[in-house]
This record gives sequence, structure tokens and C-alpha cells, in this order.
Amino acid sequence: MLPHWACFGFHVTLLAPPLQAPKEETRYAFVVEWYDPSASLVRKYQLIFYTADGTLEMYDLKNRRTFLKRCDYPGVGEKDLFKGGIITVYSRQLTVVEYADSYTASVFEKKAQTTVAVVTGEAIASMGRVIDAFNSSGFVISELALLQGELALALTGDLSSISFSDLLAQINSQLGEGAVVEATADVFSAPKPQVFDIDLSTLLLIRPHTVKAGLLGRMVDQVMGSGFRVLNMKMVQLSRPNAQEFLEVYKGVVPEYADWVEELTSGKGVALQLVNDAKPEATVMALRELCGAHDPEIATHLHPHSLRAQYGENKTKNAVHCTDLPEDGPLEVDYFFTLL
Amino acid sequence: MAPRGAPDYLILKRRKAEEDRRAYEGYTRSNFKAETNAEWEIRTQGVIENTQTKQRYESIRRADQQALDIRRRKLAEMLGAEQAMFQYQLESLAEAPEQRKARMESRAKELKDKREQERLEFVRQQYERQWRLACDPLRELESKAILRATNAARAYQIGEKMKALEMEEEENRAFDELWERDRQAKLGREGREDEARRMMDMEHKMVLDQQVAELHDSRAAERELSMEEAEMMKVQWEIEHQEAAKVEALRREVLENAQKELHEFNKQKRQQLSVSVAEEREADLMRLQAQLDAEKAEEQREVMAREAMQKETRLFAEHMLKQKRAVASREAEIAVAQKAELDKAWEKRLAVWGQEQEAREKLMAQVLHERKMQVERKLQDVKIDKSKQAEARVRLEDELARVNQIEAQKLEEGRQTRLEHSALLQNQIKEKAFQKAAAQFNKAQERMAAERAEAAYQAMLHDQMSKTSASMEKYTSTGT
Repeated sequence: MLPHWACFGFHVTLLAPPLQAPKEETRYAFVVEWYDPSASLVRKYQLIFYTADGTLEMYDLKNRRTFLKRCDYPGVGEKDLFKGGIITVYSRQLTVVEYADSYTASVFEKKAQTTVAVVTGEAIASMGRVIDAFNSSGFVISELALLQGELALALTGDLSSISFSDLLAQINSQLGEGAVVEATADVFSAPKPQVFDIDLSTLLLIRPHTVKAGLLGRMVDQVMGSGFRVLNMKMVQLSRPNAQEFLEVYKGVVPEYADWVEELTSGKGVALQLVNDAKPEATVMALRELCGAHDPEIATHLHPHSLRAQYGENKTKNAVHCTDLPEDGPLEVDYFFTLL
Repeated sequence: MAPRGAPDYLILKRRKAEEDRRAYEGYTRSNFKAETNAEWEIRTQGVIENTQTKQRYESIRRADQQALDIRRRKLAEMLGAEQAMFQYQLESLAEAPEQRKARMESRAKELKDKREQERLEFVRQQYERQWRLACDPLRELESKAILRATNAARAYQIGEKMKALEMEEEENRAFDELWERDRQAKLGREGREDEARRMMDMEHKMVLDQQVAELHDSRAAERELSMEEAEMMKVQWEIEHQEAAKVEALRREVLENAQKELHEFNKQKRQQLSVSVAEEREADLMRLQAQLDAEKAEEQREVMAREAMQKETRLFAEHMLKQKRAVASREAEIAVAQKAELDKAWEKRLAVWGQEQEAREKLMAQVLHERKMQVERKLQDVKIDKSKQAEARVRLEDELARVNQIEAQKLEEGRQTRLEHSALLQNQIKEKAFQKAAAQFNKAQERMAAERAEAAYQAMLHDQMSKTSASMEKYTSTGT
């Protein structure tokens, strides 16, 4: 069976070997930190991940007692666990600060190596396909930012099993020489582009569950193919107060408000500032139409080609958030690209 | 001692000073009050400003909250309208009963046509088969071909069977040979093990015999050794007994000598003690006499000293009286000079106090003037504030009335929306129940039609199969 990104016209050979079945009861241990807002303290825990059944366990390092008994938590997988990664366990945002034992360190330092790629020039128009190619090759996108006419991507994965240079060569053979180049992490410290055309633009927030599922590239490609121009783009990890503040207009209006807050804080999402080239004044409504109904089930029946119909799972995990009220477009864009 | 004289002057001066003091304290108190009032004014101004800032902040917050409420209301309206539209679109997507009936009819017709086609095809095949069976030359050729194929297949089967038998025979032979080889090997191994066990038993027996002999020898040697040891112990005990008797005799002799020496020493000691007691008694009597003499001489010396002291005191008293008289005359002169000096100092102090009083009055007048100005300003501000508050209250009441009206309207809208939603839900439930019943009915209808068609088909097939088996029996009988 062909990989799903083959439909975009890429012919990239799969370089990663097939994944081996995990050993019985292999466990990885990490040191994670949680900022306790009530006590204004950073608390440290040991998080243990069992690969055999994907269960989690947490141990309080200060009080020397079990904090969370071993339990199934489908929201956290092996791919989310790497140094610097942020995961959410039962409404607590935990930051992985280090590996707790040498075995885990030896496995994950090999598995979670980070490299940076920059999509340049004309290839920006095909950035969705590039992102999808990286995702399909086993990389996790840990950082993303649209700089001055370039898209910088931090890719985390097992560089010993994936030949990054070969992958770049194959992408460049499709998009032209120099379309995607390797760079250092310094590119993320470059000045961010100025936020402009706020009044005519709208916000599209690709939810964390979609980013985790590796659907970011396909969605960006579909959005750009539907007549929208990306003015600004960045990867964001929302804290609980930020998510509550951002979604405050939905509080008391939609019953899924609390679940949306929970979902937005569960990982990294991608925010896009978009404008519709054909009808800039109707950008917000055009994007709403592209996103479809809030409920993917309704969208499947009424708007089968919408983003929520194709990539949404349920009312909470409905793939994307887009600005609903036309006058809220500038507010939401301003919140993500100026205030945050 | 202070000189007597002019007590009225001092009392009057003291009273005047006290009155001045009271007046001064009154001024000070009034100044303090003025200062306190001024401080209160300043602090109150800060409080007022702070309150105004808070009110401004609260008004901004309220404005934000109102804007948020407006946005929420708009969003709710928009989402509600959208939901209604989706509902309508979904309902329009759902099949109408007529459409459903037409679809089911077309489906039934399609199934019927399909069955009919199948039946026609089967009939055609059967006719063809019938024709083939009715065609004698074809049947003859066919039977010959079948016979040839059957013969060939039988020959092949016999060959295969013979090959299998041969292979089985060969395997059995190989297994027999292997079994025999194994049996011989086992027999040889058992014989060797028996021989080895016998040799081992003999070696064990020899070793045990040798150990028993050595044990007997060692026990005899131990018995001899113990007897020798008992003899040696007896000799040893005899020698020790004699030694103990010698030691006891020596000890008794030493004790007797020591007692004798002790008696001698005690006797000498008693004699020395009686001599020393007599000497000490004589010395005590001599010391007592000397002490009594010394006390008598001391008493005589004290009487003489007391008399000399009385004489000295009298002389001192006379001299003191002379001196006091001289001092009294000198102090009267000093009191006159002191009074002159005090008057001069009092005048000077009065002048200073007058200057100070003048300055205080000037300051007080200034403070009172400023205070008056502040109070006037304050009164004006209070008037302005009161007018503003009255206006704000009127505005607030208007706003409150408007908010209450909006709230009532919202509540009414919410109630209407809930009623609509519940009606909508009930309709959906009824529709769903109807659809479910219709689906079950359709399924039952389809199943019964299918069962009927299946039964007809099975009957026809059974007939044909019976015919076929009959013809096959014919073939069999022809073959044999």
C-alpha cells in the first residue's frame, strides 16, 4: 500500500525500517516538571511509560510516593516523549526535562534527535506537501515558524535510521534545487515577520490532536489550495489560562467549552493567519465554510469535503478552530501573533 | 537654705506663667486640630482619587464584560441559526416515505429481475443439458471419453498406491534396523554398568574394613592414655596437699609475731597521750589570764577617749554658731542682687515670648485663611460631585432598567429556545422510531421475499439434482 502522501505527487522511498515490535514490559522513565499554580511551585515527578500496553505511571520525587497509579492514558504516546516535549496528563501540563535512567537516555537520545529544515522561496507554496513528506518519513514537528518569506521547521526523529540528506534530496528533486535546506536552530531566533492586514484576516488554529496525527501538511495544503494565503504561521503550546482567555467568548455558549480548553492545552497546535485572495472582506465566512460544521458528524453529511469532515473525530477533537464571528478575526489574529 | 522673703512675687509670677502656659497650650491645640484637618483633607483627596481610579477600572471592566456579552450573544445567535439551518438541511437530506417506498419498489423489482435472469439462465443450462443428454452420438462419445479418463485415473491411483506401499515397507525396514541397533546398544550399556557397580561395591567394602580396624586401634590407645593420666593426677594431688600444710604453718607463725608487736606499740602510745594532755591544760590557764588583763586595759582606754570626744564636740558647736551668723548676713546681700537679676531676665523673656506670640498669631491667621480656602474649594467639589453622582445614578437606573429588560428578553428567548429544542428532539425521536420500525418492516419483507425465492429455487434445484443423480446412476450402471 502506498503511503498517503503519495497522492500529492511525491515519490519518496520510505527510508525508515519497519518498526520492531516492542519488548515485553519495556519501560521508559522521564523526569517531568509541573507548575502548580495554587502553590506557585514547580513540582518534579518521575513519569514511567510502559511500551507493552502504552500505560503511564507517575511518582512524586519530593514526597517519595506514587502520584499516579499505572493507568491507560491514550493521549500520550511514545512519540510525544522526548526531552523538552510537553504533554498533558489529566489537565496537568508536564514538561519533560530529562531522562530518568541511562537506558531511557540511550534509547531516546538516539530516537529523538532534532534537526532543522527551512523551506525557502517558491517552495513556500508547497509547504503543506513538504510538511507531509517529513511527517510521513517518521519525523515529528517540534517547532514551526514562518519567518521572512521562509518556513523553519524543527524535526525530531531517529536520524540514525532516517537519512535526512537523502530525504531532502528527494524533496528537492520534486520542488527544485534549494527548495528545502538544512539549517541550525538559530533560525528560530530570527526576527518574526510584522503582523499586517489584521483587519482583513482570520485565524485558523490546527488543533493538537491533528498535529499529533501528522495531518498538518495535508490540512495546510488543502487550505492553501482553497484560495487562502498564509500571512503568518507559528506553532503554539497554550497554557490553561491562555486557552481559557482565547475561548472566553464560547463560555456559556457552547457546551464543549471546557473540553475545547482541555484539548487545546493537550499539546502543540499551529496557528495560521489567513486571508482570502478572492474576497478579502469575506475571509472569515469563507474559512468557516471551508472548515464545515463544528460537529464532524454533521459536517460529514452536509459538507463532506470540509476540514472537520475529513480530519475531525468528534465535537471536541474537530480538527480545527476557526474564527466564527466576522468581527472577531482581527481580535484572534492579534491574540496569537501579537499578544502571545 | 533658700532665703525667705518675696513669696507673693514668685507666686504671682508663677500664676502668670501658668496662665500663659494654658493660653499657649490652647493655641497649640487649635493648631494641632488645624493640622489634623489639613492632613485629613490631603488624605481624603488621595482616597477620592484612588476611588475614582477604581471606579474607572471597574467601568473599563464592565465595558469589556458588556462587549464580551454582546459577542457571546451574537455568537450564540449565529450558532443557533446555523444549527437550525443544519437541522433543516439534514432533515431535507433524510428520505421521504414516498421516496423510500419508490426505492424499495425499485429494489424489489431489481431483485426480482435478477432472480428471473438467474432462473432463465438455469433453464437454458438445463435445456442444453437435456439436449446433450438426448443426443445419442454425443452421449456415446462422452461416455467413451469418460471411460478413458476413468481408466487412466484408476491406473494412476493404483500406481500411486503401490508407490506408497513400497515407501511404507522401506520405512518400516529402516525403523526395525534402527530399533535393533538401539536395543543392542542398551544391552551393552547395562552390562557395563553392572560390572562397574560391582567393582565399586568391592572398593567400598575394603575401605570400610580398613576404617573399622583403625577405629578399634584408636579406642585402645585412648583407654591406655586415660589410665596413665589418672596415675599422674593422683601424684600431683599428694604434692599439692603437702605444700598447703607448710604454707598454713608459716602463716600462723607470722600472725602471732604481729599481735605481739601491736600490744607493745599500744602501751607506748597511751603513756605519750597522758603527758601531752597535762601540758595542754597548763597552757590554756595561762592564755585565759592574759586575755582578762588585756580586756581591762582596753576599757580604761575607751573611757578616756569618750571624754576627749565630748570636749571636742563642744568646741565644734561654738565654732559652727559663729559661722552661721556670718553666712546669714552674706546671703541677705546675695538675695537682693539675685532679685535684681531675676527681674532683668523676666523682662527679657517677656520680650521673647511677645515676639513668638506675634509670629504664632501670624501663622495661625495664614493657616486659617488657607483652611477657609480649602473648605470653600472642598464644598464646591462636593457640590459638583453630588450633581455628577445624581446624574450617574439617573444614568445607572436607566441602564439597569435597560439591562433588566434585556435580561427578561433573554430569559424569554432562552425559554422559547428550550421549548423549541425539546419539541425538535421529540420530533426527532418519533422520526427515528418511525424509521426504525419502517426499516424493520422492510427488512422483514425483504427477508420473506428472499426466503420465498430461495425455496422456489431450492425446489427446482432439487428436481434437477434428482434428475442428475438419476442420470449419474445410469452412467454408473453403464460403466460397470
